Amino acid sequence: MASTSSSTAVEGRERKRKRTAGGESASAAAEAQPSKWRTRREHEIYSSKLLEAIRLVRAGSSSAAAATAAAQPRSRAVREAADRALAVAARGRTRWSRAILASRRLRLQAARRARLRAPTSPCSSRHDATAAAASSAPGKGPKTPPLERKAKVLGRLVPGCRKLPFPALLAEASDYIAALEMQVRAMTALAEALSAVSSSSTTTTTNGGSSSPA
Amino acid sequence: MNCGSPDQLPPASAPSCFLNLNWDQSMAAAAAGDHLDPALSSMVSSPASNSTAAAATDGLALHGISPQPQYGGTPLSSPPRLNLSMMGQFHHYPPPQVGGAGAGGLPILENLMPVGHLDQFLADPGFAERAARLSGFDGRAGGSGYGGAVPGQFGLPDAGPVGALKELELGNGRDESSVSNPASASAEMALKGPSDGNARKRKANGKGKGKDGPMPTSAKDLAKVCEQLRSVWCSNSPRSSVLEQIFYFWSVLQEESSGKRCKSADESNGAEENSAKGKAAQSNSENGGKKQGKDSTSKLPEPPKDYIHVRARRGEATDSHSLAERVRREKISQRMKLLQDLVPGCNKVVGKAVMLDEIINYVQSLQRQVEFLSMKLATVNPQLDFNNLPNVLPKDMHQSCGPLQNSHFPLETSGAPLSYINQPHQGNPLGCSLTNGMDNQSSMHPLDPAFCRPMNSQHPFLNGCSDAASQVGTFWQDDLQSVVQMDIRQSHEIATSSNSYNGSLQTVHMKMEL
Repeated sequence: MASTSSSTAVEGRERKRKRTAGGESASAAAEAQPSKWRTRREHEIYSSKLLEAIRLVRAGSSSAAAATAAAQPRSRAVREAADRALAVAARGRTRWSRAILASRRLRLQAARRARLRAPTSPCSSRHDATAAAASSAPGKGPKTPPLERKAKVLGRLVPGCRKLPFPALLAEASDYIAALEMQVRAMTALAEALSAVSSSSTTTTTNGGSSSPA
Repeated sequence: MNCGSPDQLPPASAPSCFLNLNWDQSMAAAAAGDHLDPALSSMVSSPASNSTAAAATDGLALHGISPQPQYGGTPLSSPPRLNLSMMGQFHHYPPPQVGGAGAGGLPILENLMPVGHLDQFLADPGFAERAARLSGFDGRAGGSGYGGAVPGQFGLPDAGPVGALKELELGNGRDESSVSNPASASAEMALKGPSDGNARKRKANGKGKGKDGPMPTSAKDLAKVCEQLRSVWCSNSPRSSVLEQIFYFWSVLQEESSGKRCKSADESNGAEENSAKGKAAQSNSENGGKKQGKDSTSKLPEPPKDYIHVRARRGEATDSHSLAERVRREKISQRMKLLQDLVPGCNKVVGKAVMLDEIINYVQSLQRQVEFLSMKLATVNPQLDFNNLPNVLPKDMHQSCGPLQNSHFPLETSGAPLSYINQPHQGNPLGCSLTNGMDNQSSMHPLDPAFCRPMNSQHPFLNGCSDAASQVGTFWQDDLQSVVQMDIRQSHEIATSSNSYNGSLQTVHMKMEL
């Protein structure tokens, strides 16, 4: 894909520029720009954070007995952790990062409160919320200009940007897209590395296991 | 009474007393006024008989017009008719007009009088208006800007009044409008001058550069300007400059009158622009010029080139709202360009709606990828020794998979029900036995402060994360159904990507072994 080569070219250029221009000053200047997500440094920072997060999730899920049921809760937890790590890597300068970090706490508090009241209500409420959010509302008025509609959809996609005016929404979206791209790259790399490591370790264990009776 | 006392400056007193006095003087001192003499004598006589200052002044002006052969009317018989037309012309003027009407005929006399007599005239605000008007005509008649206006005007006593009277007569005519444009340019500039409070600057600006200012639309502006003019006069500025200013005001009035006849809309625009929005006013006057041309259905040429084009955009609306709107639009287009670079495939599309669609799709696909990857990570090998993991991981992990995964995620939005919950098993045949394994080897506390610490240092509201982490396992159970629903809605691409992962896994595995 042309975009792939261009993105890697941009990435390479970014890294070179970062190294030659002095990392701190360049990064400070590019703080608000989505191009900062392409730097290797950010990538590494995020990867380390991600690793920590996943480790904790596993640790957390291991202590809870219910996590053995399925991988979904854990994957959800991993995803949330990854998003949080991404938001942290954004250093709180963008609206979506602050919203991610803030929402988790709020949501958990609300869930806790709801669970105290009724065990089924939080599930259904979140159900409805996600269902409504995921599907574009069919009951839109005929007069809504298409641009506005689309802007609303985009606002729902980017966390914390529902009521943002259009230019700010575009800026947030561009930063969010860049951050998501970096997240995908980092998670892919991590997943592959982990699986490779795990496969190698299991082969060694199986080899060791098979060799023992011999 | 203020008559005869040039030091005291009456704001808007009836100037008839001035007129009488001065005309007597002028009549005495005037050189042979050629064809104007009979007119002058009639002028002198008529105001004396006339009680109303306005009528008198109008009559004066008309009498000035009357002797001209171009009009084809008998000098003295035409006055009544011209009177009416002049009255009609000046009728819509605000009250100071009445005061100013007293000086209606003065510009004509001015050419005959020595300059020294202008002291008294200057006190009259209306005089300034008339003078400005006359200067406008002179500017056109002379075919030059205001550069040589002052001596030129005096040197052309015939041409001056002729031109002036022609303009007055034609009223609406395009000549007038074309005159009014340079006149208004300098007049507006002159009006701005008083607000600057610098007479010298005004003079320099007025020398034909035509820096624009807001068009005067209210009597108050004129009065204000005249006040300032008077102050300038008192400060003993050079007479010529003051005269120029007077002429400018005159042309302003001229412009105003023609403007009110031709286009009231521009006037209202000009009123809005009275606050120091020079740019808008300048282009407003440009628009005014253009509209004037349209109204008079003439081949009005473009606004004279002596306007300073600050940042004029032809055909653009110019009030403050549209300026702000334009700035906003430019901001939006800048950001769209940025997004275009980020989102692949946006280069071909044109238009905000389609681009927004693309952006939305891309964000959704990225989020789905993250979901899938998190699923994958969640199922991969909990038995890994996380403590030693950083050492075990390949050093170039960050780079090796970079180019790979982009190609694995084509932008597809066709939703296909997938139970990709099983994917991890396929993609990780070696790890399937580990999915259920609860690795207890991790000695880390689930509420690891190490995890929270880096976050807390940056975000204080993460202090609650310790509470949160403990709830993670049970909490997410509640979301199982919603998660499953979302999974089912995943697109087809995830299957393809997971399949391709198998291949990449093998290669990585081989690399590791090597």
